[in-house]
Amino acid sequence: MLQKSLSGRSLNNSITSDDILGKEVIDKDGGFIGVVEKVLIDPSLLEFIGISVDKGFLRRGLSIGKNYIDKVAEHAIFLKIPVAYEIRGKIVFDRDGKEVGVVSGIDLYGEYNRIKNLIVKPYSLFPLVKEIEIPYSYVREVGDNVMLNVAKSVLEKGK
Amino acid sequence: MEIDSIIKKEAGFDKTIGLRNLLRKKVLSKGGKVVGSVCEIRISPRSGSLEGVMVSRGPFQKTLYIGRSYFSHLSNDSVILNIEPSLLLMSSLVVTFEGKVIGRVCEVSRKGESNEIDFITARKLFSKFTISNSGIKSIGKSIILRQGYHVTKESFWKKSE
Repeated sequence: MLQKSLSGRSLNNSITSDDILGKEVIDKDGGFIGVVEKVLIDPSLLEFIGISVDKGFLRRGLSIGKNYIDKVAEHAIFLKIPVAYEIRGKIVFDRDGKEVGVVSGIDLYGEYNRIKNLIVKPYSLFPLVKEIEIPYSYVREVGDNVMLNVAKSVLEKGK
Repeated sequence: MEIDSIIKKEAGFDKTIGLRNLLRKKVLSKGGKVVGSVCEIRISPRSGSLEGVMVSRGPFQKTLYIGRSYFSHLSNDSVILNIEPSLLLMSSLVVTFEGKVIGRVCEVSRKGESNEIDFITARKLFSKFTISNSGIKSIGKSIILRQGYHVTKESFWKKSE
């Protein structure tokens, strides 16, 4: 339907919330993060500031700032970053490939997508075993799992 | 254990690892994916140096032979590779530049026996798509294609569109 415009500029190339809502969100590594459920707008500046992502049943949602959005494509929203929270549940291996534990939590720099420390639950027969905090500088590679650049003995000394 | 060494220019005993220790140890990709476990170690009969390992991936998977140029680190606990083996891309999602999922990888064709991809084949229901290496933008949890890449579609009732 043809509409009249009172914006002072051409709005032909703009997109609407309908173009964003319900789309899949894909991170830099090609991981499917969830579905956009809200478009976030600053009430005073009336500017688009980000999106809220529904990650599925019983999973906490996630808000992503617009600076982390790469593009709004026809079928999905692509991010510029691998989402830091996606590291949870990955197995941590030391420099020699020895299993250290599983990432149970992360410590971020403020609300940025930068990890300060990994909280790792060591493999143990005892359920109440103390978690280890591993500085992110010890991480060599993050892929399907997490590879460290130090030996497990170094982490045990730092406990 | 105290031992006497008879060596010339070779690395000392403490700088080597026993081949027997490597057997049944995990093989990890660069990003920590468990590829399988070492089931055999192959050495060159001429030079006596390690040439590669056979990796067992489970009862219904083909055994892999990985050459030593793809090793990053050997230890008494595992063999760590310097690659993500392209054969492990099987069943990864293939996504276009516009974010449309076109299917899952059902075949990975490599350049010779190297880890370099020549083309991949993805499948969705009754359609098959062939994607050459030049059409791939990034490989991670899924495979994202380049902008404007035209995917060749094959349907079972109509070969190559």
